[in-house]
Amino acid sequence: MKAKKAMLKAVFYIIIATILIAVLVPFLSFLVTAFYSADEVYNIPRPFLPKFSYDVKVEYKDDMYYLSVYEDGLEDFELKIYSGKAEKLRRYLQTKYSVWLTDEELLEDFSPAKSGETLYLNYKKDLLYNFKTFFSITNGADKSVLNSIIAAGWTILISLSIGSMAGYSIARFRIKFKKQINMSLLLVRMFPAVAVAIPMLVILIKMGFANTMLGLAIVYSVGNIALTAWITNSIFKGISVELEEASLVFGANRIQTFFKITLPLAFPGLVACSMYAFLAAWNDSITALILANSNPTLSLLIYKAIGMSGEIQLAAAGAVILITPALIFTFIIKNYINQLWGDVKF
Amino acid sequence: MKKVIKKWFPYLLLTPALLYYILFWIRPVIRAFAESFTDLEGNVSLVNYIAIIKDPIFKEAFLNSAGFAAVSVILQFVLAFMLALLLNKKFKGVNLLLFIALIPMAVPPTAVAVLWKTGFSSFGWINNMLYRFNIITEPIKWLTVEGVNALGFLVLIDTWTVLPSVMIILLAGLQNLNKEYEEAACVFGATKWQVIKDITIPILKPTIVTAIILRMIAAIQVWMISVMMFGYGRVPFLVERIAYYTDVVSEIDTSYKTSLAYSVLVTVIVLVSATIYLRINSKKGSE
Amino acid sequence: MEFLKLDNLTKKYQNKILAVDSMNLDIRNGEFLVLLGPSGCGKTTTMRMIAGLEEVTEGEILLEGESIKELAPKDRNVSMIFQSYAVWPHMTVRQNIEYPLKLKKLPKEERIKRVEETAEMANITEYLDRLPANLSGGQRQRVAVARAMAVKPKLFLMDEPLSNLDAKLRVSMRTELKNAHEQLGSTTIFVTHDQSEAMSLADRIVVMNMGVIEQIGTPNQIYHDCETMFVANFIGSPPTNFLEVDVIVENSKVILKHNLFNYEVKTLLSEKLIAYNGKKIVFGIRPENFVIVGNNSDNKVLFTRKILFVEPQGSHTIVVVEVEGKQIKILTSDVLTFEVGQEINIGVNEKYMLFDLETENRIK
Repeated sequence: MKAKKAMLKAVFYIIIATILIAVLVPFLSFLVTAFYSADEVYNIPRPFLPKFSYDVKVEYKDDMYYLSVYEDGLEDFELKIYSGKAEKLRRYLQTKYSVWLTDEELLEDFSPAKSGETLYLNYKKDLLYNFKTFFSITNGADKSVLNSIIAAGWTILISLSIGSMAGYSIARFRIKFKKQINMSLLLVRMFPAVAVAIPMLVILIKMGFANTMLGLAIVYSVGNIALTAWITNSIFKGISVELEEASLVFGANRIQTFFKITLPLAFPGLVACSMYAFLAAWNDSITALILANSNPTLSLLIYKAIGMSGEIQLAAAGAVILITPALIFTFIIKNYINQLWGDVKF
Repeated sequence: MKKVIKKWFPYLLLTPALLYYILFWIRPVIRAFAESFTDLEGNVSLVNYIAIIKDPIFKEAFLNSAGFAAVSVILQFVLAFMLALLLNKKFKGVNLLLFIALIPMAVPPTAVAVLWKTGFSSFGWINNMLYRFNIITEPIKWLTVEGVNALGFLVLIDTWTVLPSVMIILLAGLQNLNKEYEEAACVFGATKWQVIKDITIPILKPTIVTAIILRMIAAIQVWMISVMMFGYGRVPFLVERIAYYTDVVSEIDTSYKTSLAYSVLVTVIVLVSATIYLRINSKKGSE
Repeated sequence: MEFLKLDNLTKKYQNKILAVDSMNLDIRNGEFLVLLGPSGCGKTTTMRMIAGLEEVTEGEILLEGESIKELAPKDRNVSMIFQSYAVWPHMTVRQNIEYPLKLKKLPKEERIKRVEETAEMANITEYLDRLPANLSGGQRQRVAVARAMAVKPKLFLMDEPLSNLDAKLRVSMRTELKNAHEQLGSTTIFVTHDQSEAMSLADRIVVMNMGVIEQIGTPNQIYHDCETMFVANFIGSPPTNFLEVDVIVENSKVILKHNLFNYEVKTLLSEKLIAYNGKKIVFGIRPENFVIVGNNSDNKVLFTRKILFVEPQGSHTIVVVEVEGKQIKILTSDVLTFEVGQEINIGVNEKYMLFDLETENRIK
C-alpha cells in the first residue's frame, strides 16, 4: 500500500514535470531568441542564455585592423573581418553582434593597436537590439502597433456597448425566442471568420472603410458582440434582481439603476469581455490580411515579416511584443475561469 | 406611452445588436453566397465551384483539413481532459501550474508560428538542444518533412498551442461538478477509473460536447501554421487556399470569386459537421 | 468487542488547523449513534474519515477489531447518505440504486430483487424509471436512502440528510430513516446540528465542539446530566440559564450567594462544594426547572422580577425576566395570563446543575 502510494506520487511529479517542460522549454527558448544577436542565432551549438558581451581582439597590420571575436565553441579567438575602414568594422559589429558604436568611438578604441600591441576589448551587446531594429527596419512597424491599438479600441467600444445591452436584455426580461437567440449567438461566434471577411471587403470599400482600423473593428465585433452578450447574460443573471428592484423602489428609473447599480457590479465581467475583444483585434491576422492588407496591424506585419528575410530574431522580437497583452490577460483571468465558462452548455 | 416603452424596452436594447448583425453579418454572408454562384460577367453559374473541384490541390486541401480536424480533436480532447482532471485537484502550486499550462493559449497564431519556426529551422533551438545533449551530431532539417509527416508535425504544433483552451472549458465544467457525486460512487465501490467513466464523464457531457465542437470548428479552419512553417501550397488546407487567393494571387480576376467559393464551402462543411456531431450526441443522451 | 472504535482520531489541515482532536469513541453493534454539534465542530470530518473520504492524520479506526484507515472507501463496506443526496443526475432512480450493486458484482436476479425491495421500503417504486431532475427534494432523499440500503452495509453513515428538507418533511423522514436502520439491523452514525433531531433519533448522542467530544450519552443523560456548560447550553430550547454565584460555607452549610438571592445546597452535592469555598461557580437552571411561585404556595421563592417579554407557545409559556443585564428564560406550563411589567416570584426545583467557572465542567 505504501509502495503504491509512493509510485502514484512519483507519476504525479513526472506528469507535472512534463507539463512544465513541454510548455516552458519552447516558450522560453523562443523568448530568448528575441535577445540573440545575428551571430548567435545561426550558431550551433550555442549557450542557452544570450550573451551579454563579446570579447574582441584587435591587431593592426598593413594599415588594416584585424578583428577577431572570441568563440565559445572553439575556446579561442577567430578572425572575423579585417578592414581599414572604420565604417565597415562598425557596421559589422553592429549587425552581427548587436554592438552599438560610432565610427569615432571605434577608432578611438582601436588606436592603441596601431602601436603594434594586440588589443583585447570587451564590448557590451545591446540585448534590445532586435526590438529597436525591428521597428526601424521593418516597414511601418511602429505604425502597426498603433494600428493594433486603435483596432482593439474600436472593437472594445462596439462590442461592449452593443453586446452588453443585448446581454442585459436577455438576462433580465422575458423575451420570446430566448433559446433561439442564445443558440444564434453561439452560431455567430463559431462562424468562420473568412466567410464574413471576404464579402465584407466589398462592403467596406463601398463604405470607404477598407484598410482602416474601424473597418477591421466592425468585422471583429461581429463575433465579439455575440461573445459579450453571452458572457454578460450569465453575469447579469448572477446579479440579483432584488438589488435592482431595491433601486427602483427607492426612486431611480431603469437607466439610472443600470448605470449606478448593475454596471458597477458587472464590472469584472465587463473587464473580461473587453479583454477578449482586445485580444480578438490584437491577435488576428487573417481578417487583417483580407481587409487591411496595406495598413497592417502588428500581427499581420509579423506574419509578413516571417515570410521575408531569414532574420528570425527580429521577427521573434516583434512576436514578443505581440504576446505581452495576452500573457497579462491570461494571468489575470485564470482564477475566473469558472465564472466565464462554468455555465456553458449545448 | 410610458407603458408601451416599458414593454418594448428589452427589445429596444436588443435592436442595435440585431441591426448590426443584419448589416454586417447576414448581408455579407448572403452576398458571398450569392456571388459565389455567379461568374465574372454576373451570370448565375457554377463555374467557380467547378474550377475549385477540378483543381488538384483541392482534394489535398480537403483531405488535409478533414484528417487534421479528426486527429487533432481526438488527441487534444484526451490530453485536455487528463490535464483538466489533474489541475482540478488542490495541491500546492496548482495555481502557478495552471498559469503555466495556459501560456500557449496566450500566444497568438503569428507568434506561435515564429516560436516554432525558431525551433525547427536548421539552427533552431531544438537542434541546438539535441546537439548539446549529444543526441545528434548534424542539425536535422526538420522543415523538409513531407506528406503525412508534415501533417503530423502540424498536429503537434497545433496541439501545443490549443490544448489550454480546450482544457479551460473542461476544467470549468469539472469545477462546477458537485464533488459529492464522485464521492458517493467511491463509497459505493467504484475505483477511480470507474468513477471517471461512469459518473464524471456522463455528467460532464454538455461541457465535453461544447469543448469538442468549438475545437472541431476551429480545426477545420486551420491554415496559418502551415503557411508559416512550410509556405503556401506545400501542405494545403481549405482556408489556406483562401489565404493564398487573397494574399498571393489577388490580382487575378477570378481570385475573389474563388476565395468566395472556398469560404462558402468551408462554412457549409463547418455547419454540416457541427450539426451531425450535435445530432449524434443528443441521440445518445436520450437513450 | 465494540463494533467500531475510534482511537485518538485526529485530523489536521496543513499542519495547522485542528479539525478533530484525539477523539476516542466506541460504537456498539446495531446502535443508532448521533454526532451532534454546531458547524465546524468536526462531526462531518469525523464521519468522512470513517467513510474514507478524508485521510486520517493520526490515530486509528478499527472496524470489528481491524484497522480500516488505509482502506479505500469502496473496501470498507459502508454506505452513505450525503447532505446533497448525491443522486446521480444522469441515471434513472433504478440505475442509481442498481449501480452500487453492479460494482459489488452481484448477479442480475439478485440486483433486481434488491432494487424492488428497497424501492418498496422507501416508497419510491412508482418513480423507478424517472430521472432525478423530475423528482422533488424529498423524493430524491428517499432514493438516496434506498440506494444506501440496497447494499446491505455493515455501517450506515448519514451526513445531515434532513437539513435540506422543509420542516414538516424533515419530521416525517426522521421516522423513515429510523425504520431503515431497524429493518437493516445495521449500525448507523448520523451527523446533525439539530438537537431535537438528535434527541428523537439517537440511542446515544456524541456532543462535539471544536474537534473535541464534550459528552457521550443517551438523550436523557445529555439533557439532564450535562457534563459541561457547552452541552447544557447547546441542548434544550430555550437553553439553560447560567448565573454566576459565590460559594460560601458557613457553619457546615453550603450557600450559593447571588446579588438577588442566597440558596442553600442541601443535597450531597454540598460536600463537593466545600472545596469551592470563597470561589465563584456557575448556577445552571433549565427554563422548565424554574417555578413561578403563587401567593399561596409553600414553595420557596428565590427572587422576584418584573416580566420583560411573554412568549406563549400554546402548551406552555416562556416568560423572560432580566437579571443583572442578562435575559433569564422561564418555561411554565401554567397558562395563566402573564403581562409585561407584572412582578412574579421565581423559585427553582432541585434539577439544577452546577459548573466550575474555569473548566466549565459539571460539579457532581
